[in-house]
Amino acid sequence: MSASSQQEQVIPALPRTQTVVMGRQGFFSVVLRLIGVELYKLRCRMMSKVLAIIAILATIISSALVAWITPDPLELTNVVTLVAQTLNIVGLILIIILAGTIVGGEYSVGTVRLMLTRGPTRAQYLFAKLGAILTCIVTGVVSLTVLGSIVAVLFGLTKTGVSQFNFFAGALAPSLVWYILATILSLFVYGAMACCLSVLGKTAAAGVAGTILWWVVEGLVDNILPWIGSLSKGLLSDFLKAIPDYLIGRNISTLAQNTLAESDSTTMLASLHALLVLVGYLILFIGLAWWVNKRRDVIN
Amino acid sequence: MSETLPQYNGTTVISTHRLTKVYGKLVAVNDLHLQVMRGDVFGFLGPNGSGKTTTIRMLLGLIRPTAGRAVLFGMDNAHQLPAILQRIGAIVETPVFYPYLSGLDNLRVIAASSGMMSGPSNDQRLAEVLEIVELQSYEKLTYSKYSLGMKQRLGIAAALLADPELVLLDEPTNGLDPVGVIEIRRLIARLSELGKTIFLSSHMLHEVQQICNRVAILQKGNLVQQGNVSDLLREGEQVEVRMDNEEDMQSALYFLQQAREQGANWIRTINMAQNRRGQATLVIDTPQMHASEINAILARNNLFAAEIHPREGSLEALFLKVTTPSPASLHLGMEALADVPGPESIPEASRSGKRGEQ
Repeated sequence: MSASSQQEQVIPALPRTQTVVMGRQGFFSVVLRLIGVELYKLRCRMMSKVLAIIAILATIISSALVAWITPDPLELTNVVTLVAQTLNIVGLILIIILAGTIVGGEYSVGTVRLMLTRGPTRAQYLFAKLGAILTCIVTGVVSLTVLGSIVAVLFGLTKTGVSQFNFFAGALAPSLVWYILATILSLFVYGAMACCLSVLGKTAAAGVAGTILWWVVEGLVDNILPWIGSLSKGLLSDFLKAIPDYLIGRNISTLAQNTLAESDSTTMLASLHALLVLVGYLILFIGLAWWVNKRRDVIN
Repeated sequence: MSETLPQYNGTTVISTHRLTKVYGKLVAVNDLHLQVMRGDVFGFLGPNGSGKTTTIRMLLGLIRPTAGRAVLFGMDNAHQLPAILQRIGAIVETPVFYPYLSGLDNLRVIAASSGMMSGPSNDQRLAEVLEIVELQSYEKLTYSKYSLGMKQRLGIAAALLADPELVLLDEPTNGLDPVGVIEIRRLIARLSELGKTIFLSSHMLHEVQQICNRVAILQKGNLVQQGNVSDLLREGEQVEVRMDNEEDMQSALYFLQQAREQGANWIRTINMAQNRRGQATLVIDTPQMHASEINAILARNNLFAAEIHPREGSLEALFLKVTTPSPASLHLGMEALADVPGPESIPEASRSGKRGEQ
């Protein structure tokens, strides 16, 4: 049966009751609406409130401590770097939990079949989850950076009694923006991994445990492989030493450091390499999640 | 392939063609041909594990068929699923919602996911569906605190939210107490009156008999029966005759058998049996409308029945009949569609479908 003959036999839809107000049905309109749905669910959830409180407390404590301990007047770069470092540990774990839960939770509870029978495609559904994760990361990183800066200024004031208005000097602003973007990207790569593993494992635990395990193992491999490589010689040695250059953590560090470093051709090349590797991981995780999500039978 | 396609027309809402799902060596659904017309209250029956839920999941695109296709509203669900789903409201197995949200918040989430505008523009619709399922008083209660009946009703509210043309209900009365079952039955009748097409999967035969106008019966993944409930029940109708004494019973049996041999072919079989009071009776397999003719035959031969009871056929009897023998011998495949009437041939009473009202 040809597509055209199928089209001719389509039964016209009956008008809906007037009280049903439909929204736009374009691909991106649906994705945006679904992102709104995901954020609404997160807002109503106790877990996200607890995670947010942990992130805020971690930022306040670390910023206050550094402001209190540092003998010299604080600079904005130091504070942003500190907040980013806090986020790269505490924030990372929190975002992994968040991403794993909002994706895997749908499978665990069984609401995935509810959502997939409402009209959006599976791709839209996945992109909405990723969009919600990205929104949480951007909101979290920006707001916690601002919060950390304010806390640092306030503690700096209480310590020295002098306002450090040069704290906000804008000379490093572009680098700081890139630094914050690099932090967002690094968190999003792990968020996408948690999302992917949750889809594969159909549970929140698969996404959370799998990603944290990857993060820990990657840290070990990053140190062990070059050491093993130094014990051997030749092609194997080069291969083992080169592996860490393609790990997520190493490239995140490189990208973050280079955004604040003085730019030359070496750092540019290293940054480009890091960026490509991270984008490659993103494509891998999102692509795999999309492919599995598209082909899978939903039976739970 | 096109020459073997079922002939669906402008009012066929669901049409499956050789729909098959195989899990390893298990054939969950085999070569299924279903046809559901607009306005039908279609009962989809079968024992546990017969493939009902698998079929519904295939219709909704949750699982992919191993072979065959499903056409809904004239659109193939392998290619136009989002457009199809926008016209369907469904409950698949036990309704599941977000446990940390209230009933109202769950409906808000589902409304936005169904393509409805976010925000307060649909508040009136939310109130309407909550009223239909009588959950207004509990709209702010967290879903995790809902009783099973309330969860089922919220599931129906969610299915109705976007005012769908087709409502797919998979075991909506599962786990409900008798009052809950009656409520759901009333609700389905109300939806039917509103012009919705209902596809009701159930193994509560009594309920299906009361509210459905058409049924299909699955057994181990095979379609073993499909047709109008009234037609199928007519096949199971009987007339029970009791005479005052044994001699009259034998005479009645003789004259009725003789009448059958002489052309009263509406008498299918005649059996001697005992009624609930232990009295000997003649059970005649024949449509109820022939009760008076049976009486006339007896009277012409100076036999006067002490009791004549027309007995309705029951879906339960039919179900047992078609699901007990080997399914291979009963598998209908394409032949099942031979029984599917065109919309013009479905009697109005049958279309409005409430058996209890006939």
